[in-house]
Amino acid sequence: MTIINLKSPRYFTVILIVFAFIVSLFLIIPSLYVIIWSFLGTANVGVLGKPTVVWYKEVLFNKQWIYAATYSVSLAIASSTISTISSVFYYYSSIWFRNHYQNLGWILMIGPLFFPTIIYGLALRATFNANNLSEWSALLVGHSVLSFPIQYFIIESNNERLNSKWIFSAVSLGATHWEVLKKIVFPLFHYPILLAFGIGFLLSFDEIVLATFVIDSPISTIPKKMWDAINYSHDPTPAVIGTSVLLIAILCFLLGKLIFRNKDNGY
Amino acid sequence: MNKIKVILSLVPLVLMFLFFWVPIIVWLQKWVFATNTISFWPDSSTRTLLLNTFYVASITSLVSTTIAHPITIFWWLASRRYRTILISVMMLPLFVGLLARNYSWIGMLSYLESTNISLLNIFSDQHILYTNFSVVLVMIYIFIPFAFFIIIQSFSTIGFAELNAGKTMGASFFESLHKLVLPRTWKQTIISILFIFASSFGYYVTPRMIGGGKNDLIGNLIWRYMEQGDLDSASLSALILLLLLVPLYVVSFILIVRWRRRILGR
Repeated sequence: MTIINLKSPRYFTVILIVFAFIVSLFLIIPSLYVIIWSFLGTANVGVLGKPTVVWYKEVLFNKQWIYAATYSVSLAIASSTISTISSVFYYYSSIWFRNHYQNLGWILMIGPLFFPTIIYGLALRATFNANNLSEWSALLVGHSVLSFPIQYFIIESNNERLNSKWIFSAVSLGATHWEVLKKIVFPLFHYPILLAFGIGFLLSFDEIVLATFVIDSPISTIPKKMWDAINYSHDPTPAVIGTSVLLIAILCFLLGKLIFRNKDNGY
Repeated sequence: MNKIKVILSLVPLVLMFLFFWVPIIVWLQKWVFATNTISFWPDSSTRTLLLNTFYVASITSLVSTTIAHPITIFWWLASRRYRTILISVMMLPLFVGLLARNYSWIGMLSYLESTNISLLNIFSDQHILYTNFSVVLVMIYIFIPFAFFIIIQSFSTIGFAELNAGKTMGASFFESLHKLVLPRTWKQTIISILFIFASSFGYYVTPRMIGGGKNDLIGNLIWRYMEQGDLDSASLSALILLLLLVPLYVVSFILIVRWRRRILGR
């Protein structure tokens, strides 16, 4: 069973493996605690009781949580779709236009990456709420913007799938840009695009900062609802939601692997 | 066909400008250039918060990146199976959600306190929860995957052939690692530090939950003002935050563009 590909000094390999194991445990244990807490939790965080599914019933059959989940899911799908399409267009355009276009793109992208989200939340509030525009539109805009750079990096990190000469050849032979996208780019990039969409969905679903700054009405997203409950409730509701999302993500991942197993040429 | 190409290329840029920079400009125009009777110079309590924020953000960014770097080296050297396992481990916290993870840390740390484990004597009065230490610990936990995914970009462009070439020329494994590989990762490492520093500078969720209201950062102050409806004070504090971070943006932009030009040629 090969762990490390390259021949390196044995003690270095052992130290590296042990360190990676310890850090992996550090990252996994809180997530495992969330799953355990969802089944063994009581009304007080940190106090575990007997196995029960009462918290799952409290959340999954509660109308308010269902409304919040519907709101969060629809927002996440819409924002992730917008940002995924934008990032594909930006990636495709970067093949054609270099230098100034890419520098301009980076100047525009650097904001969402490095501006604290709290500042962007204030800006959205000043622009949308102050002008009586809907909260949903502010959240849609905000979530799309925050996901865009990350989705672009995901798509671009799979650059080796595509040789730009194929695109130039196709266009020189008369293909339109839509044909190039449809017949060359999307087939080669279906996995990164789906992955980018999934990551954008998760980022939007879990986004709390913009939600707390923009949402004033009772209709809120799931993270906002959990945040509002912090002062009076420490029950395992967040754990139930976290575990449910994790389970759905694993199922989607396995389904994706199954569907694209034969089409994906070893990627 | 050129029109379509131009439209396709402009759509993402226009969206980014309209959806991000226009709200920022509107906010700046509203709160910076409007008449404002509040003094721009922060009072002593705000200065204390800023110092605490700077301290927490610095430690978080440095430690997260320091921990993520050897993990990335492991990923780079590992076989495909262990690479996949490591990526899954790094992505797992993303699925579980930020609030759930914060709650899990509250549960675990309060359990450690209640069991009176002697290791806690190292920290004052056996308290771990609701201290600056616990806030930093959880923020490091949150940002390690971010640092990993940023630094991984540099390693993914370095092939084993270069290490093997160095070995053929008589260099030891560590010489090759030290002189061939690590110098090409320092830009991404710095980008990681700057990104995590900027992100944790505006953080308020984890300090609020794990710090218990006693270990606030500047983000908590902004959020409190916003909750009370005092948008003047919230915007002023946010503006101070923004001005402090401007040099970071400039440095990050230069590093990112130069790294991309060197590696990708574009």
